[in-house]
Amino acid sequence: MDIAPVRRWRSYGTIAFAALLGLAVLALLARSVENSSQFSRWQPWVLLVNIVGVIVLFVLLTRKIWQLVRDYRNHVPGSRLTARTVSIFGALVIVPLLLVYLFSLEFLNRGIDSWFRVEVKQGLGDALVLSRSALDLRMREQGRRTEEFAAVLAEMPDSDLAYALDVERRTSGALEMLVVGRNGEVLAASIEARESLVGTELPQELLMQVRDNRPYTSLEPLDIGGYLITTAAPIQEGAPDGRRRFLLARYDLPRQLAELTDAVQHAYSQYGELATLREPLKYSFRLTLTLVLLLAMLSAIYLAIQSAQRLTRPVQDLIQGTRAVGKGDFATKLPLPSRDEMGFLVQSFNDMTKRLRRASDEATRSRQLVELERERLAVILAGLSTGVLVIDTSLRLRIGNAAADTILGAPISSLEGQDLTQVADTSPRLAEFSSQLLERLSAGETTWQEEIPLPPDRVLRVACAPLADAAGERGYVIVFDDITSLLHAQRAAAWGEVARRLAHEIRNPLTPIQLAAERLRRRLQGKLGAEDSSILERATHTIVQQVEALKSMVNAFSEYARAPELKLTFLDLNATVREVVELYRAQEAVAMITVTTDSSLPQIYADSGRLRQVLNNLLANALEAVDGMPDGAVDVSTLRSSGPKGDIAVIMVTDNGHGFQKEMLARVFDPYVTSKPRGTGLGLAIVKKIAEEHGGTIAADNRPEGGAYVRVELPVAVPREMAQSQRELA
Amino acid sequence: MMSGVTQRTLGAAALSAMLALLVALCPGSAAAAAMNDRLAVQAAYVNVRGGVFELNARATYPLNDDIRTALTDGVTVNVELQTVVSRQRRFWFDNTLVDVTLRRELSWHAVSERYILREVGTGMQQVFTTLDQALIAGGEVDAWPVVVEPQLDPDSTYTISVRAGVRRGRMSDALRALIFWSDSWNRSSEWYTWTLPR
Repeated sequence: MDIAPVRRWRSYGTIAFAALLGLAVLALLARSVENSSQFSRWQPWVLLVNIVGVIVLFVLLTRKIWQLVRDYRNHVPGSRLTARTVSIFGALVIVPLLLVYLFSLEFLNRGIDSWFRVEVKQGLGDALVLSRSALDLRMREQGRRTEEFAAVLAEMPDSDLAYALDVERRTSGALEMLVVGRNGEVLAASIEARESLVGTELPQELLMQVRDNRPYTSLEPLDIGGYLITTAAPIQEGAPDGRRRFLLARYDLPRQLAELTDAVQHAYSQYGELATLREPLKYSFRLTLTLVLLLAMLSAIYLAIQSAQRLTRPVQDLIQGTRAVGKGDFATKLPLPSRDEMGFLVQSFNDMTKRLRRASDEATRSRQLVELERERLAVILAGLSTGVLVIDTSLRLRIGNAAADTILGAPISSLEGQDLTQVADTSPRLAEFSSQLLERLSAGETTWQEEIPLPPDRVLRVACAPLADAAGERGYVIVFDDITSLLHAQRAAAWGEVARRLAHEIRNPLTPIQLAAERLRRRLQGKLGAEDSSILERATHTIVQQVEALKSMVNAFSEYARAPELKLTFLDLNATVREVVELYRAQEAVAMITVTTDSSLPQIYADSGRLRQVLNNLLANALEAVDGMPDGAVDVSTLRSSGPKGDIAVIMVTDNGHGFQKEMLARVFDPYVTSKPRGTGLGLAIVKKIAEEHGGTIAADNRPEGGAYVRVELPVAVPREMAQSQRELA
Repeated sequence: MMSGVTQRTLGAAALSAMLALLVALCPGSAAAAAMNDRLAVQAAYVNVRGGVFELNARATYPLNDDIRTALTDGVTVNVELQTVVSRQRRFWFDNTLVDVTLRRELSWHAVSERYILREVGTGMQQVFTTLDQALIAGGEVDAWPVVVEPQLDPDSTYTISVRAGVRRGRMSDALRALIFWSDSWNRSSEWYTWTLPR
């Protein structure tokens, strides 16, 4: 499931919840303002909602900032950009908010303080004193009038009281005038046609003062508006009964004065209320401003982080996409964030990765083709019997095929990348070969063809050509063949021709010479003296013997030069070996001859006579090698083995004689190469020829423990060319 | 069973606790607390006369020096007596039948140098030369009808709760809104609760 939409909806849900909460607070405020009686009920909730809002914002913001710090420390892609954006946004929001906050606080303090300037308070106090003075003057005047009238009443009989009160009330403009007795009973009264205060409870201080014979004056505000001046004065009487009465008069304050008094009272009261609210007002404003600042600041920072993350999210995607592309993942496709510039950038990135993917696919296909071609070339090179080397212009080995390994006797493939001068230790042949190559390439010879002899007896035909392309020369291709066998064959053919000519040229005169010598002996035998006869006999005998020797040699030459006419049959090699060995055992006793045969050896397709000739020559050579040695031993063994062309039968003849001379070892199979004084030097040459006629090979070497060995390998299966020749002969 | 008044008390206490930090910062809160310690309903009872339940109560509204000074500076103080009649219900919250407040406005008339105690509901006022006289008069409630017989279910049990309160009076709504969280004058006494006699 994609997480991004869930996050988006969760974010929308949070914003919607916050908006609803804000609306609820506004509704509470509206209801509170409409009905002040509900205000005290709602105000804690309004405050609570605000505080909860601040706490929630603080928690959310702390979580966001913690995530941001964690991502920043972990070097999460895009975190630094987010942090920088948040810092900029935060600074852009916080600094103006703080400025506005500080200026608002200062303005608020100064504004509220200006409401309560000393001059205003002083003015109000003066107005109050002035009002009191004016009212006091009025009250004293009314009191004095009451006292004077009370003195008049003291001399007046009770029957005249009502009339006197009425006259005085009308004259003075009083609301009512009463003569009150000791116990508060009304003795006489004159009342204006308005609501009377008669019957209302008199103030205690009034009663106490008049009982102490002191006048009383007071000013009372009325709940119906206006003011009432109440005056009372004791009526000093000289009656012996001690009657005590007092005059109570109530006056209405003139309207104008009452209004002025109300105005002063109202102003004083308003100012006093405001003055007591001075600090609470400041505190409330400060708290309100602080709460608003916190809400605004936390909201702004939270939104800044949200916006920064939203802004940097495509950048994060781009960074991750770029890293993925850098690691070779060209299938990366980023989601389109919007249709703005960032969306264009992401679209461009997607297009780029698409093109890169195509190019990568093309490159992969091309590389695969190149690899395929390379593999084909490697197969071709591996299949070639001709050695191939590729050397760059720095004379470093680049390519070498399997034939090169075989011919040069070194693992060329493992030496790829090495300098030609550093491969001398690998094998003597490669050392000589690389030396010859370096000599020519250093001389600037880039195209040449030569035969190069390699130790001990190898000869290579080498061709060199520059390897060039449009960019210029990139190296050299060295192609070479081991022509040692070819040269040997050519040499053998030449020697065969020599032998054939020698046999032909020498054999013809031998018979006449022998015949002439025998005739000469028969004609002159008995005609000469004894001494001459003896000389003749020795001379003719010597001639006949030497002619016989020459015939033997000519026969050997003839045998060597004779064209192969094999009579191939399937034969048991082990049986043939044993037969020939038994023959020598019966004739000679110069050495101990042992036979070891491999019972798993199948029948081979060979000429029995020629094979016996091979065994005869090898055994004769071996026995001659151990001749005269007291512990001379010759071992003949057969073995089944496997060669590159299939199973082979091996004939191994070993002796413990003096071995081959080192200087002759390389040419031991060449005609006329022998260390024996009476040998023709054709024995091993003939053996080799017979072996090659059967499709086999021959090798000879000295044994480390002394003596020598000759190893003949013959194919077990019928060689194709041999079968072909047999079919042609048939 | 928890009474509705008790629930309101607990709710107010919870809110008060949550606002403790804010209130602690409010100027004059110490003086207000001192005043609140003595604000109480001293006695209260109900007389049933002619099917009318009349409340008689005596409450004390001791004001500290700050409020006294503020009063003489022109500030108006409301002394209130809130009465709640609730019907008890089993397994559920109590049902509030009556919730009325007797509000009296105490002010200082600077020109005449008299304390005026005015009934907010009727507009009737009394004038006193001393503040203590005015406060005593403000705490005296006699024969205040709070509920009539037809409002009551004969098979139910009712409780009546009374508490005294002091509020800052005569203030515009705008001004009250401005200082609503720093007005330390608004205080109430504990509830004085008893079962309504039948």
